[in-house]
Amino acid sequence: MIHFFHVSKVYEKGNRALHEVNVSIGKGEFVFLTGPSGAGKTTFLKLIFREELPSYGRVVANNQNTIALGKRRIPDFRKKIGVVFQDFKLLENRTVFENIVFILNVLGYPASFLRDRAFYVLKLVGLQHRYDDYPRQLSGGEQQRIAIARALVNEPLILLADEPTGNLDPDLSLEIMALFEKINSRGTTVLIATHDREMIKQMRKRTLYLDHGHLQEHRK
Amino acid sequence: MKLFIDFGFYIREGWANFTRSRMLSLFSILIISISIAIITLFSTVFFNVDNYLREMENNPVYSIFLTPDTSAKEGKDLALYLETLKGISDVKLVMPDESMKKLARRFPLAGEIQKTLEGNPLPISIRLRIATPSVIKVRQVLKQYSIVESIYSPHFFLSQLKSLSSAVSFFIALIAAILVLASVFTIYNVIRITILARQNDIAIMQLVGADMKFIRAPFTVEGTLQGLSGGILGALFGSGLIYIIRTHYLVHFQYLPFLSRITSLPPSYFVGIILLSVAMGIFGSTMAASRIDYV
Ligand SMILES: Nc1ncnc2c1ncn2[C@@H]1O[C@H](COP(=O)(O)OP(=O)(O)O)[C@@H](O)[C@H]1O
Ligand SMILES: [Mg+2]
Repeated sequence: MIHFFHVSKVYEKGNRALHEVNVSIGKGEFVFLTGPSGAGKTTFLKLIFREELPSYGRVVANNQNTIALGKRRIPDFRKKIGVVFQDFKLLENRTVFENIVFILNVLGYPASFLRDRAFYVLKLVGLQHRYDDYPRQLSGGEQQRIAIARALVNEPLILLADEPTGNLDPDLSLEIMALFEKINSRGTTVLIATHDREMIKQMRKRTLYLDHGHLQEHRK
Repeated sequence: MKLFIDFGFYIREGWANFTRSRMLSLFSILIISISIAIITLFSTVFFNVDNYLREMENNPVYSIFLTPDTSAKEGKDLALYLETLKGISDVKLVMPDESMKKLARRFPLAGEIQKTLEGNPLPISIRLRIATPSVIKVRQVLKQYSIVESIYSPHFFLSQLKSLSSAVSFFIALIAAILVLASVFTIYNVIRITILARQNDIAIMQLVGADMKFIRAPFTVEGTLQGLSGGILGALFGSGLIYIIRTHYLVHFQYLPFLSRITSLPPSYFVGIILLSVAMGIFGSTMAASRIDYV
């Protein structure tokens, strides 16, 4: 489902974020990506949904080499990948409900479905009562849960989550993890970047370790 | 069905954009409506001149002056005869007194001079309108009558007026083109600014997989709304101006039939002007939106 072949990423300023990364993640896997901050976790995720392109090597996601992907085909490629961004990336001047409905519109859901589907995912993250609030009226943790709801709404082929529990207290973190497992059990490949060691320990999943752009595999 | 849903979405998004960037939208609408008001004014002038010239050409009014010693009866007989001819309408026998009154109304000085004269120097005349130009050669018919002294038709005057009017039309078209360009340019820039202001949102939309048309179309809707409202306001403003000019100023120019008879534009012209404005909105905003790049 996700393959990195000799991938290096050097940012414009010469910052080396990833170095010679080789890894494969199969369909339906549940994988953690961990490492200290600045190790290249976010970069790794960005390469998968083609927010960034590799400087060397190639990244294949969902059978698509991201370098070979034409501009016009990027949207359809991304529609199959749900992303929980580290900085949430909610639309600031839309309510929670409108944020979810927007993504449903993007994904081409028929109008009669929108409302039910939106409330369904909001209920999954326990925030249906905040549907009419704007993102700035929510706490960091609540915004994070909205971002998670948005990424889940489509039951995507691949779910990427960048520090999805970074702003959540432990109980809620576990609930969200349970949610990711549920999605995973329905066939979605899940990749979660986190530096929460406790959680990785509890979950007993395949874990990739990044350090200064070098990737190592730890299997439990 | 899918297209229909998308369209509803674009309209809603576009409307939201439109109301969100209120000051910018208002600015754009103001510029458009000023341009459209001026274009409405110009079109009205053009429409009236054109109508007037066409009427003059198709239904020219002839003035036939009879010799000074023609009696009222002879004049009347000729007028009655002319009335029976095909292609002639509105035959009117004008007696010298009436001519003088008319002259005095147009040129007050003439009235003063008349008072110092003995009698009325003006001849009997006949005014007639040609209904269907091809049917009759007025001059040939009239030449047979010895009581006809001279015939005035507007043809010479007309050809001069025509070349003047085509020069003016060109000038008007030039200014209208400049106004259209200025409006398109304004819409383009206003939409560019709103795009810049929403760059963050646009990037997010793209990262979650929104198609380019999803991102661009609302801006086109926004520009269309600006064009539509600017067009309606401008047309109202322009025709209001014409109404005021007509009722307050032109009515005093009765001796110049052209000015006193100026009419406002027919509805089809307003539809055309508003469509022009909408087209400017669509064009300017689509150009601006097409510059949004993939992230
Ligand atoms: N857009 C960018 N431009 C330049 N350098 C960047 C950019 N994004 C990340 N980096 C650098 O790449 C390295 C890896 O960053 P990142 O992938 O965000 O790590 P992590 O998510 O593990 O904290 C860091 O040194 C960071 O400064
Ligand atoms: Mg990061």
